[in-house]
Amino acid sequence: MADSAAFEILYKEYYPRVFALCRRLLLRHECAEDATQETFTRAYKTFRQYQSDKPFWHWIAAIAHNHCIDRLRLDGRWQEVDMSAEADFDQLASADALTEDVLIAAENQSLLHNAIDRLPEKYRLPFVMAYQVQLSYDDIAVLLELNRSHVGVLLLRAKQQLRAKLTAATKGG
Amino acid sequence: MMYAESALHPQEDAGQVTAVSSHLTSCHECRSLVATLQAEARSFSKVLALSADAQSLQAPNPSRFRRAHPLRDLTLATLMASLVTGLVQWSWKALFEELVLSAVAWGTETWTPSTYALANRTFLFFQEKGADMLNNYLALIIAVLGVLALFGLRSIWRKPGIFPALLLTVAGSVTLFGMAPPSHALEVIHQEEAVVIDASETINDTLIVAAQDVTVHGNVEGNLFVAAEIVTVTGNVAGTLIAFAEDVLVTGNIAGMTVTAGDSVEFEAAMLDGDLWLAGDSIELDRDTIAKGNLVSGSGSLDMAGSVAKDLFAGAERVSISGDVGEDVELSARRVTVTDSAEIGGDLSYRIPGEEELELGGNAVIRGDISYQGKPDNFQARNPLAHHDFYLWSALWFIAALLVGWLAMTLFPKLAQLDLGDARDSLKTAGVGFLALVSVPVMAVIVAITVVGLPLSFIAIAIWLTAWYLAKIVVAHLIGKAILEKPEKQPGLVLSLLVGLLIVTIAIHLPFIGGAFNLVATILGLGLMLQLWLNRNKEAASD
Repeated sequence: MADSAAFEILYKEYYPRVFALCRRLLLRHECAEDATQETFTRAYKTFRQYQSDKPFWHWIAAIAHNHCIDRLRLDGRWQEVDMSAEADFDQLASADALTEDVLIAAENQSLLHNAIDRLPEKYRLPFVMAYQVQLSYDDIAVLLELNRSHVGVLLLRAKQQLRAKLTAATKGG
Repeated sequence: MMYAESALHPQEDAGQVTAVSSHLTSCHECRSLVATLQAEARSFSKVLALSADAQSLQAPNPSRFRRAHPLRDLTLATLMASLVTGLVQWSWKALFEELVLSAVAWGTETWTPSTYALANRTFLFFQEKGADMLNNYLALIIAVLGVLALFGLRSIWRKPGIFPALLLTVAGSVTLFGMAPPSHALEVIHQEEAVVIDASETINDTLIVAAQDVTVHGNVEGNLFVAAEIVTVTGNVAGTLIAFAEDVLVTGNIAGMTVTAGDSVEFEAAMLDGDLWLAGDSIELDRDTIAKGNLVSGSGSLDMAGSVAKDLFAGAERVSISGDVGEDVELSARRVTVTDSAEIGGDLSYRIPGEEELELGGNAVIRGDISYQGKPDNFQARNPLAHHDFYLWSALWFIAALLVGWLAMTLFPKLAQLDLGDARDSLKTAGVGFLALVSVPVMAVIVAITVVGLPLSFIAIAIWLTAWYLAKIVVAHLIGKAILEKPEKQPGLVLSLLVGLLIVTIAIHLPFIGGAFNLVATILGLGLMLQLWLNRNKEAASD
């Protein structure tokens, strides 16, 4: 069983970040609150399994992620990623990138947030795990039960969609 | 893209890493692309990290993550409930019945206008009851230990450890050892119909009775507290009698004080060793009643045919004295009759609408002076501002409030940080304060009806009165702080209190609007303190 005092400290420290992650994954405030509570409840029950030499953030984020996927499944918003339809490994070698002016505009106008929220779940989840939680491709692959290259493809798709949305928005705006 | 984001595995993808690295050394365009992709990734991370930090959320109460220890919790809950119940019962007995009543008895027994007599009586009192009083004050120490034990329990509950366990063991043991002599068990009777304590019965300790009719023929070894329609006491009470009833009849012996309030209060051949504090429509002491202390009464009519060993202070529509009073008599009434059979050992001073309203029997014996003090207060259009007493009491209130305010705000600095906020917050505060002002006494009365509720009710009222007193001080401090506040420096506590209390003291005594100001200051102060208490967890978390 967990050390209550230590866990309470971690809980207070990480609650906002876990909430932000759940909010990003589930897109609804109330759902995110519930998911955050459930994440910490699950974490508390399995706190002994946490290896303290690894970042707590990655551990709790993985729990949050799994719970959010469960929620998305229940809501019918999550479908297993069919990598045969996604496979486009060649593109990994020839990626484009957003130009600096588009990025600056996106950061300043919250366009990026909106664009991320509008990504399909299968792209949004790995994207958030990579850039918000800072998980490695390998860690994301384990969570999504894919391999590293598949993660790369999903992130590539996510970025392509983001680039398209951001470029259109900044040019249109 | 994976190379740019360091996602290629150093061993598994070693070939790709080497190939890309060597290509980049010779290809400016690809180097530039990698740099742009890295900048893009950093940008995504930055925006998402900012979004996480921007969630200025506070974690809700984490109690649901606390470790479940049903057996320990049950044991601690039982211990805590026992300790609280014991402390409440014992507080009632030791703190209220003995400490407070002893203090009142001491105050009334030693009270006298003469400094010499005061010192003399104080000495005699301590000689007689000093040891008892010391024991009573030791009760305070037990009370503090009891509270410490509760803190120990709470700490163990929250986080087991050696210190709280030690605190609980030591404080709990001393408390339980010190507070539970068998004679401290209360006897409480609460029923609708009549309660009769037969002459053959002896109640070994304090008796609290609430019923329609209460008749005590037997002996009560402790204090007797009665609330009923009709109360009759023909037996012996070893302690204090406090009775609230429509009709009160006492024909027995009361060794302590007698405090009664009722429509009709009668004493027939009663032997009353302590002081009498009486209130009612009609109060009568028959010729065979002997009171060995003072008699203080407020009533419609007072017929005193018995014997009062010390002073008699009475305010009534009509006062008739036909018995003996050992010392002074001070009366405030519409009409006063001192019959031929009356004998007063000291002075007779009286306030009545006209000097001629005094009917003084020709054979009445008055050993001291007779003095007419003018009209009673309620017959005069009295302007308090014209009397020096007003200034004396106002000054005393001011000094006391300054000291209490300084002490309270030093011990509880949050009190000095209270703020009314904007108009909406102020309205909310006033609403909360008004609710507290009105609801606490009502709830205290409701709680008092339950069997174990009476002591809790007293405690609630005591807290309520304390908060009421502090309320104006809190508001005074706010006013003082607002006046003295400068952008670059906060005013000192004493100075803020001094200025604020000066303003409040003057304001609450202003003609016409003083009362309204008093009420507003009280409800605002109560509201602020109550909100501070209600939000204490939130405050602690934000600290």
